[in-house]
Amino acid sequence: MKLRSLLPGFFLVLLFFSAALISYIWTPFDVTLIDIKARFQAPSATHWLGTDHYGRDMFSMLMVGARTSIAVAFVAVGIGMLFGIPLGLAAAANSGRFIDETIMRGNDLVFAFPALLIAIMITAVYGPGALNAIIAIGIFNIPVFARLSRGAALSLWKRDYILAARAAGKGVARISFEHIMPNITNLLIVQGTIQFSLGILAEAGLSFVGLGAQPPTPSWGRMLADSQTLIMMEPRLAVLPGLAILLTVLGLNLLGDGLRDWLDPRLRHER
Amino acid sequence: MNDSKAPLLSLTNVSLSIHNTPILHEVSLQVRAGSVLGIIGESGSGKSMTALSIMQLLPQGSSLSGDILFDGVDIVTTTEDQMCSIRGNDIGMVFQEPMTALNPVQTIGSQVAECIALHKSVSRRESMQQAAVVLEQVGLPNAEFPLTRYPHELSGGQRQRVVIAIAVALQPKLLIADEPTTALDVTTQAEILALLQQLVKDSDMAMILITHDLAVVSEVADTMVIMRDGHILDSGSTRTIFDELSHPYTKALFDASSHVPERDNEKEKIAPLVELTNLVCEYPMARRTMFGPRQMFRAVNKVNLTIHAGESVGLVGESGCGKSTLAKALLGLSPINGGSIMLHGVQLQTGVALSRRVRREMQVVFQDPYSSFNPRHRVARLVAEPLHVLDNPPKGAARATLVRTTLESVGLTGGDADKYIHEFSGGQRQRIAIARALIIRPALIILDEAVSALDVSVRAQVLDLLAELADSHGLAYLFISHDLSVVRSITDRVLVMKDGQIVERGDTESIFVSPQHRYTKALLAAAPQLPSSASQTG
Amino acid sequence: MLRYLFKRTLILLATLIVASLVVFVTIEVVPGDPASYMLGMNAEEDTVAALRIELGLDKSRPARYLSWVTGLLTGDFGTSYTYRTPVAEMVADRMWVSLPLAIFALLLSTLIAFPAGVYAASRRGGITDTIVMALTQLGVAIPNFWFAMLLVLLFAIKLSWFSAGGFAGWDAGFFQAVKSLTLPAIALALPQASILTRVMRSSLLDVMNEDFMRTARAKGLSRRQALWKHALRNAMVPVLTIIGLQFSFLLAGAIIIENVFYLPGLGRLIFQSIASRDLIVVESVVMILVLAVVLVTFLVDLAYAWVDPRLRSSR
Repeated sequence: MKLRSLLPGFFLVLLFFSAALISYIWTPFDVTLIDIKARFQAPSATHWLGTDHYGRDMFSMLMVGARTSIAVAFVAVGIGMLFGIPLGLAAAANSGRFIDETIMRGNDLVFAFPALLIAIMITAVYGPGALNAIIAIGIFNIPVFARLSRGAALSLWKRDYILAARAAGKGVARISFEHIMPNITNLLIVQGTIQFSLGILAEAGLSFVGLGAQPPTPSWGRMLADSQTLIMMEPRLAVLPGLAILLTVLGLNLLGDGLRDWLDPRLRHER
Repeated sequence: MNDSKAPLLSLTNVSLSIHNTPILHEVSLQVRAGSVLGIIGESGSGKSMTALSIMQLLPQGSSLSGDILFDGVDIVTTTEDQMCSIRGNDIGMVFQEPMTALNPVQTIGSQVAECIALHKSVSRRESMQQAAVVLEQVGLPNAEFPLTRYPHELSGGQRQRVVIAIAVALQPKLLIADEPTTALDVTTQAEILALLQQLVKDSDMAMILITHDLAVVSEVADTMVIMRDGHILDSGSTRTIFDELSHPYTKALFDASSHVPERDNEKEKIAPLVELTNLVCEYPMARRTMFGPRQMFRAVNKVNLTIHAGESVGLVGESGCGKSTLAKALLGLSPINGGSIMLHGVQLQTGVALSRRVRREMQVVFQDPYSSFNPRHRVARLVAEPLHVLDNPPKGAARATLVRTTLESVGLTGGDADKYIHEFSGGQRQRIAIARALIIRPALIILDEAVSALDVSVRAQVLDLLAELADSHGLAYLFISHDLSVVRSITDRVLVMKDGQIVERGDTESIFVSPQHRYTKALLAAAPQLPSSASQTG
Repeated sequence: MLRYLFKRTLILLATLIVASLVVFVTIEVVPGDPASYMLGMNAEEDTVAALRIELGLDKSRPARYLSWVTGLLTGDFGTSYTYRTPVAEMVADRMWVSLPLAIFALLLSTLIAFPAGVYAASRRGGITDTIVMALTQLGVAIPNFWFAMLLVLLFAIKLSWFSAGGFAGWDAGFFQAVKSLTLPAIALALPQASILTRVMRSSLLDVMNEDFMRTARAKGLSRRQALWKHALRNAMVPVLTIIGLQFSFLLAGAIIIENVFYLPGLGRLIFQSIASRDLIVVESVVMILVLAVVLVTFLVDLAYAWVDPRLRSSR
């Protein structure tokens, strides 16, 4: 079995999620403290990953950056699932009718606006910030989950056991809840991890161009933006945040792959 | 049969295992040019694997031992390149599922021409011309079926003809047909089998016909072998085997195929239970023009049907005749566009929402035992689902007891209630489906091709169960099937349906013995018959 | 086929209309008074009033929307408040950077992904397949702007093969212009190529399990012949979908990458406009980007019908 994806993925995710959670109560150094005298220090026993151009401890910066990225991606996935899944199920349950067509066209419309464009529009009007990043990424997640749930549910509605439930007199909503939902949960979990990792990349991109979390909140994206001009002097400042993003996203993807194989009914039960 | 010739193909002690699981055990058989060998077996018997071994199209992880000699060539030791020049050229193969056997994005002409161009050095135009000739031979005249047609524009029977055209285009010495007609209608099956027999006769080709249907083998094959669990149990000339039925397994298969369950045939005519009057069901068709009203397809066209309490009524017809739509309309799963349904003399509201009171009287058993159940629920929950329609469904211990007794009445045990559905075989799942239909003691159970997907021996057992339940519970059945022999064994009356209408109705025996309508006669003529044998019971 | 075309065209137009409404509402209606927003809180009443008239804000909202849309259709995108030049001019110049960049990246991505995906699928489980899967696993996880920075560090600064930024301009010659777009295109293309490789591979593997592949082998086709002649075309539909989606990601990604390479494209224009609160420019550029995305989706829909004949008939 594909446990070789699941385990490394799980541990990477655990590592960064723990860092993010722990950062709420403790970081080795205070990230808001600027100490010019201590800038550009190489990794040492005190500063495990060295300091940046303002003398801030890199390790602590990365921890708090983890919190930002993960929190934004988490809420964005939540928004996507909360609104997207019921829409998709409703569309499948009313396949071919007006409500299905409307939801499909709505999906198409949102897909015409890449997440970045939505963020730009919101930022242009309301100003930049983490909340806007969450809304922009979240809005883009809604049609993703709607389309996925609709597709999976449509193929289930044709199954005989759904007909049997209807013959037993159960209504559409009840069938969606009792029969359809449990059978698409696996698919949704796997997609959830994928959207989570995409959310992290999106948040980093938005922060990179200044549209995400604003100073003084550290974020990996902005750390990279700041390091651009200093890349010749101190490449470490560019490499570390990028690696952090890479490893978190990689971990989530591996976890998603591993979960997909682990949850696959064909591998668990013999026919 | 030419005994003087050496066999064209001979397998000697062929054993196969896939990923260390033994599949075939010392299989030996022979085929002579110009003759037909039938391989008979139930699912899991290894018959398809035997065919794939001859073609060397086995899955990864296979290890094959033994001798396969084809026209002087040792198949087991040939290289893949050599096999590629044998496949399609000297040996052709036809598979079971015609609907998915053709490449959906290529025209039928180019798919046939490809086989020709692969083995003979001809120009593209010549290969297309030859393809046209072959397609005519298999009954697809170019005028109606030009080479530029795509597979999705053809029916199942027509697609199977294209597959046969591909297989025989280069006039191979051997044709392997693996369940070529199982997925087809009775009349189409007869046509395809006739076509295959014709091709064999015309070019002195040998054929291996693999099937689970004893009747087909008895009509088509010269020699036959019977397989079970990867072993060959019996072999010989078809005539001899059917005359003598010496091997116990052969006899058991034969008995199961011709099995008639015991039923209490003494029934007084009681008041009608369900009456359909001028029932009409329509579907909107895909739009052909951009504007204007959508055209409607009439699946059920003014059908009258009466089922009395305790009686078993059969509804036969080929695919697309509307029988499934009728069943769904009766269950309230499909809208009604005209006519009425009366239950116990009271008219049901038209439209899809049936009252719970009505649903209490009717339940259903479907065809596919593998998709009839939610794989995530335990059996207890699956069987108890219809309890939803009762006003006061039993809860807790009373419910558990009811589930247990119902499972026992279909031949399972109370302990099975805690298992998941994937732990059961096809036949057992159908029993669970029957239990689910039975649990609220409906007056009528609709069986929509309920035994069609089962092996012959399992089918016989399930039919026995159904007969016994009808007698003990006073159930009425609407038995929908395309399989005439099954319908004959379990129904009191039969209705024959074609293109949405009932073309003939009457007592089962009189319909089968002296059919009146042209279509009924055609259906009965097309169905393959088992030979009556001296050692047959009843 | 005609019916299919007609329906897709209708959807294209409907999407554009609704999108334009969304853009208009978000940018002009929601902030309340665009004029005072643009000028900031310390502006004088007179200046705000003058701007209001200049922007046509005295007219009703539906009228403004209609005049904006008519303007878009005739190529008049209004005048930038900050630069006092027609937006159409500014956009035209920038578009010749952003669009070629996105297309270049799309080409690179496809050229890498197709052979890699096909090769990995045909050698499934083997060493090549494992390597491809591992590399793509890494590739999808790399943020493209970070990769861009690393590329600059290595190829521009350490090796001096490319310049670290800036755009030579199409006037300097096709080759020079393309050279300055190369590093950005590679940075954009890498993650997308990784995704596309995986999709190609899994789509092919799915198709290889279909029944008609068995028929192809029974004809005497070797595994490789069956893959090229039968499997590939059937595997294209999901791949086409992803390519279509990728274009919109590439366009968005290009906007960010332009920051790393100091390219004078639509991205820099948009960010400068946001900073200077020039709503007119933002509005028009967003609309253009949406148009590009919707057009590509439409082209992909057409490609579906070409690849899969089942979509062409009226069934």
